[in-house]
Amino acid sequence: MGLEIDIGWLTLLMFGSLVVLLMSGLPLAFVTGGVAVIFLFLLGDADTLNIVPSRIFPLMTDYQLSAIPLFIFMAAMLERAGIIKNMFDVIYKLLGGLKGGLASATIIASTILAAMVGVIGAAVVTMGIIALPAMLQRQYDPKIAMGAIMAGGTLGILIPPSILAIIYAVVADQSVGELFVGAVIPGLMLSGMYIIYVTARSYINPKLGPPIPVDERITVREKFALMRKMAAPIMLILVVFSALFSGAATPVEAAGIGTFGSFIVAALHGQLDWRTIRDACVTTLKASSMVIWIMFGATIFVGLYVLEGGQQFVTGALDATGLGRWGILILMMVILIVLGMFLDWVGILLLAVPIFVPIIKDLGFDPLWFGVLYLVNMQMSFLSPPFGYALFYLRGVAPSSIPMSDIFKSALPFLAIQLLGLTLLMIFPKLITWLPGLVYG
Amino acid sequence: MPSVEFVLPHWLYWAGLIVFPLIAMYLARQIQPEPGSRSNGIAYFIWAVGGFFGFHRLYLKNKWGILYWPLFGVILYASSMEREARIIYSDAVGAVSAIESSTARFERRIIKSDKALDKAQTRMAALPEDDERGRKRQQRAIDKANKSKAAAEVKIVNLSGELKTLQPKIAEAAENRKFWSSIAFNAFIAILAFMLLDLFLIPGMTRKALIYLQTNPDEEVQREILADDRELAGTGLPGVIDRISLFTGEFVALWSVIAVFVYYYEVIVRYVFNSPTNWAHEGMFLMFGMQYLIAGAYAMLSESHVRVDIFYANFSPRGKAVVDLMTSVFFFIFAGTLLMTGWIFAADSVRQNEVSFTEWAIQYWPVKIVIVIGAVLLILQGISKLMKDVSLVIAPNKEMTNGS
Repeated sequence: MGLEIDIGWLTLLMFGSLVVLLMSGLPLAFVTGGVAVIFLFLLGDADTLNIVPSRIFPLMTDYQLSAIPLFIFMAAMLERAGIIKNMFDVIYKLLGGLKGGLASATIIASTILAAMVGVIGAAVVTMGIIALPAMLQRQYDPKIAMGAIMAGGTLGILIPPSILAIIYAVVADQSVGELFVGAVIPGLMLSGMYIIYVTARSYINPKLGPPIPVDERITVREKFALMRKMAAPIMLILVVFSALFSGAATPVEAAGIGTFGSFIVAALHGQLDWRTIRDACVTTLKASSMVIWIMFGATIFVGLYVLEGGQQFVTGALDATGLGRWGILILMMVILIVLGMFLDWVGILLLAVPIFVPIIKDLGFDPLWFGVLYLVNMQMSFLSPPFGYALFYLRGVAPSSIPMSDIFKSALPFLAIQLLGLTLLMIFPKLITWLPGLVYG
Repeated sequence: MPSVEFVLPHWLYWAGLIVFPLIAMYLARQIQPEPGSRSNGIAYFIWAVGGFFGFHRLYLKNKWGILYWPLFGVILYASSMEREARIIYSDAVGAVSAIESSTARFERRIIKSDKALDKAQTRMAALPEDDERGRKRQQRAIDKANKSKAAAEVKIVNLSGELKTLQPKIAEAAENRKFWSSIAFNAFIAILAFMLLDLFLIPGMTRKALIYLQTNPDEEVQREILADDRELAGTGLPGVIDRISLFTGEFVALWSVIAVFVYYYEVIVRYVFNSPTNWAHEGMFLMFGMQYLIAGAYAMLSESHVRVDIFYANFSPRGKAVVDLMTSVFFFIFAGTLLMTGWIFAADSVRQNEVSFTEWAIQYWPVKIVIVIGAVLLILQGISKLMKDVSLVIAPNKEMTNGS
């Protein structure tokens, strides 16, 4: 049709219709795709529509993206074989004797789980089912317990192999490996801060997280026996990480080694059969196609928006605020947090990052550093009331005697810790860039 | 170490993509072994794919499997040393050939200087005694030629000195290469020998493991119960479409298993045999690319596509159906465009018989045709959903047909 629309109005129209359709419950992939196709036709003509397959095809042939199904497959295989559940039991028994030990154990377990699983839902749900009843039964304060579960669960998107990091790397044209390595210190830092928080609270007021009674504790010898059961999955993580961080294997190869290893681990536990494999495959298929179809829709949507001058529009609007480069960075962070309250994380990434990253480069910031900041930021979006995903995942599995307001409140201290972490990472960029520099030179 | 030069033929790639999922689907529908049990079949399978690491022994509760690890470590280390020596060797050989060519250049310069010297000396001899200026000029030419000759000679001496330091380096690198290669090869042969031995020992080990397990069973592993997606299929025409989506989804889902073994193969031939393939990566990312497209319909059926359900979650089933009917317009616009433009895109490719620009040169057109197939499946699934929504809106009290 070849309509001429001012970019300001176009922004309003495109994102306005996006919001309306999203609110009416159409899946994000089809919302972005549908709106993009309509505007493509309105602004261009029938021939312009041919950019649809030519934007999708590069994603189909993207080498880095194949790490996504592979890492999901590795996690699904371990999960279907029941190994992840096993791991929680073991870590509980190991740390039960400490004050607040179960809460710390939850966080440590989720940190290890995060190193196997790149998406968050699974972690929060699994721990909500296993860890929450265990802690409530031991008279833990529900708020500490739930906060630890949710905060720990969100680590999955920061600690490698994070699916979000892979997508960021593909969209922002960064190296997946460097982003993985860069996220390690921030991930461990946050995890450590959570543990310090729950331990400190439990030591100040032991009623919040009492240690389990002495006669229920296990002996050192039993602890070693338990550790041996965890040997196979822990070694798998070590192998994948050393493949990643020695730079010897690409992230995709590391993912391939990981999936192969998960087969072996499942077999060693006597859990390898065709039905397990089939179920793991189907779980993988659903999770990865969910992510990739959002990419299909959003790449057309954002591609069109950038083509119509959206990039300059946003840059101009940000410049017009009169904030300095740090001001603009903080504003971006705030925008991401707000978007995170409503939108799915893959959606945020694909809608905001292609527009933000060129601006970040212009401002002279390191896009790798920004990527990790973004990942930390997304953790906050998971926890922030009223629509944080972690809150609802936990609601689904928590006992109904716990009111939603308690779940909200339990997230707040951990949100504050995340904000502190984000600030630290902004003030000391070396926390992010030091390790990748060491590994990749 | 021997190098492995296997290149996956194109026909085998495509045939594998079609045949493997069918076999896997068949096997997954058979009676499965009890979780926690041990069987010869799986032991042999692990022997075949992970025997290098002694995993088959660990699987059968035989701790001697760990003995494979140092051997494998030796192979990995020796292979990496061999890789290093190979680089040093080829660098040194390159340096030698550079030295040889500059030596040749300096030799040519010496010959040239000699000629100039000859010429100047004959001229000098021909000059009359009293031609001081002429003599001086020839003398200068002689000096110059001598100087250039001397400089070239010094250079040649220097170069030959360098050559002398390089030659032992080359010899050493070649020696190293041979040494590490033979170590890797011997360790490899040792592992193969052990594996061959285990081939016969496995049944006995399985028997032992089963006896051991009777008295010391593994701690029970709790598996979460997964909803059976087959229950999502509706009745009537929508049901037929749903079953198509279920079948295609499961079919492509099983491709992931192929990837596991192909990447395993790639990593082994690269780090053990120092001969990376030119097809593994490309074959796999194309396979996943096709998987995403075809999986769209299955994900839609199983409601895996994320939506913002702040309001949506609170609607009644009928309210959801009404809203879905309205928003489905946008879905069909997207899916329809994907089909039409995908068709043009794929048709172009088929006409040119397009292949990839890589050494492997795999056919690209089937990958592009998959865009069309994916779009068709997606539209079909959309129609199935549309029919279910319509029947729900018309007759809200009738039993729900979408099985949920």
